[in-house]
Amino acid sequence: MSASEVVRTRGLTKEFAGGLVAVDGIDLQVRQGDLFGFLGPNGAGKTTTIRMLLGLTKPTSGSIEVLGHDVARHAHDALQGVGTLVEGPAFYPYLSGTRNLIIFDGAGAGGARRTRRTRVREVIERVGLTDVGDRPVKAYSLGMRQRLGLASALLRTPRLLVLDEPTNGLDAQGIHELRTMFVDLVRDGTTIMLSSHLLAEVELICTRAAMMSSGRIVAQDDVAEMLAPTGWVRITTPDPERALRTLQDGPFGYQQVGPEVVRVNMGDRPPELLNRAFVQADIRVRELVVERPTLEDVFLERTGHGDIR
Amino acid sequence: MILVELSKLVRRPRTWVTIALLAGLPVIVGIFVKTSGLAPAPGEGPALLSEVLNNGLLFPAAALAIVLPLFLPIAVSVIGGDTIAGEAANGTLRYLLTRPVGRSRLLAAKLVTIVAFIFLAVIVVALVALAAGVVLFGIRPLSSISATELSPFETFVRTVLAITYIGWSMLGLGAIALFASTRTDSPLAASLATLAAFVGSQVLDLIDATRSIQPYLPTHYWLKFVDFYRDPILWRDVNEGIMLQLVYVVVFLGAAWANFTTKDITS
Repeated sequence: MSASEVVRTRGLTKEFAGGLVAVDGIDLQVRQGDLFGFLGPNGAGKTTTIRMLLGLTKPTSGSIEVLGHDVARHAHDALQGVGTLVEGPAFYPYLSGTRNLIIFDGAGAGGARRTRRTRVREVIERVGLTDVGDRPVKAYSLGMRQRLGLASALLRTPRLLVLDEPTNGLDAQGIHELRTMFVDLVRDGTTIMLSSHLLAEVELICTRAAMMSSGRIVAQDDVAEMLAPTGWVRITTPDPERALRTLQDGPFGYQQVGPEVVRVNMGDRPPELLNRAFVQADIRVRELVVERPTLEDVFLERTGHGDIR
Repeated sequence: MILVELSKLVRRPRTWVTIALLAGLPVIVGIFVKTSGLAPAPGEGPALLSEVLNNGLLFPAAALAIVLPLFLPIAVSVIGGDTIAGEAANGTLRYLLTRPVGRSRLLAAKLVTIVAFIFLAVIVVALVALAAGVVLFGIRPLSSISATELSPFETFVRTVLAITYIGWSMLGLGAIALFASTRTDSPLAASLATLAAFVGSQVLDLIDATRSIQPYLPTHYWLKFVDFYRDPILWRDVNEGIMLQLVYVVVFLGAAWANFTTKDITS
């Protein structure tokens, strides 16, 4: 494991009693400084994988290293530097938000008691719960609980954050704040592994991603690579007949997809060539779009519409 | 971690409601005994209650005898069954373990919590009963069960011994509760399993056919705390009771540890 890898699994497999293989020999690789999207539909095996990364369940076979420690033998060392939010936040409902975090901070090893309240105040402020910190958690809304869960994960400034569906229950404003916070955290040197079934959400911020389907990883790469242009350019023009005539004489494949819309397969050639050709032929171009796949497109392509078996 | 668990125990409203109910029942009994002037005849009803009308100092022991056969074991089952299963059902177990808290450490802290609850409960019951006893029945030198007189100081010492013994007697049940609590994610199921063990033990302890196994039942020596009020103290059964509880603690704590440290946490 190189120093820049914070999570590395090899052949990680989990077979439940009854023969259900929830995770099937996956090789995950999260590098230092990644904002890593861990994607896939519900039931793909994401949460089972995360539970194994955190030492909550034991793999049937395969190995896991987190922050340079073998989780099977030294889970305690590995988890020292990890903050987690797994399958929704959970608290003692009869205690205040602040008291809950004092309990969680106190439960971990180390961490001076003298500075505990300061640490708790800081994370509560960071997630914007200062005004309600002294109210019992049972009076919190779903969004407030989610924020408190994040605050708990941020205690002790972990090097790696493992967050399972962190935007659940948040409104648009809350999701926006969270994205900003993630980007800030990564800039400060934290690595974030973020699981989600909402691919569009991850597209906006993640630098790397792995996609899971039926227990296997179907894609793992830089998001910029996954979303590289397809080679197709979509042109909208009020002069479709003349455009088609020009294309007939050219070297590129094309198809008409609407009365005024044509798709052209440019392959590796730069799209601006097409624009110049049209302008020179005095064809009016209203819109020219370089087509890129969404993560959803990538997922569907890699899984053969969601079913790989 | 132990301090964290203890702070959770004392900050939880349920702990105090349970203890208040435990302490309240003997007071109610005491008030009725006082106003009616009708104590149970010696040898009938809860141990020592027949003597209480004569001496309030004996009321703490009588109070413990009132809660010991049913209410105290229920409270121990509920609190003990909740320890791990309650965290699982609440979802906080995964956050404690990934904090990280070692599983053995968490189990040890939970055992300490159960013990702390047991002794907190019996001490509060005894103190409330002492206050109620003095107010209701007054203080007089005590006749021991063996018909010699015990001084108030001697009575106090013996009551402390009896309280300690009763608390100790609950440890076996507490360990069973802890084990049950590692076997399920439902605190209710864990508490009921513990209660089933308790009721089963009581039933087997009552019938003649099972006499051969009775000395090994966890509840068998519970009521022997009255031997502390004999003069001199009759140690034989008490010692057996202490050793038996120790065996139950070792066996069930070991089983709880073996189960909890290897199981998949899916809550």
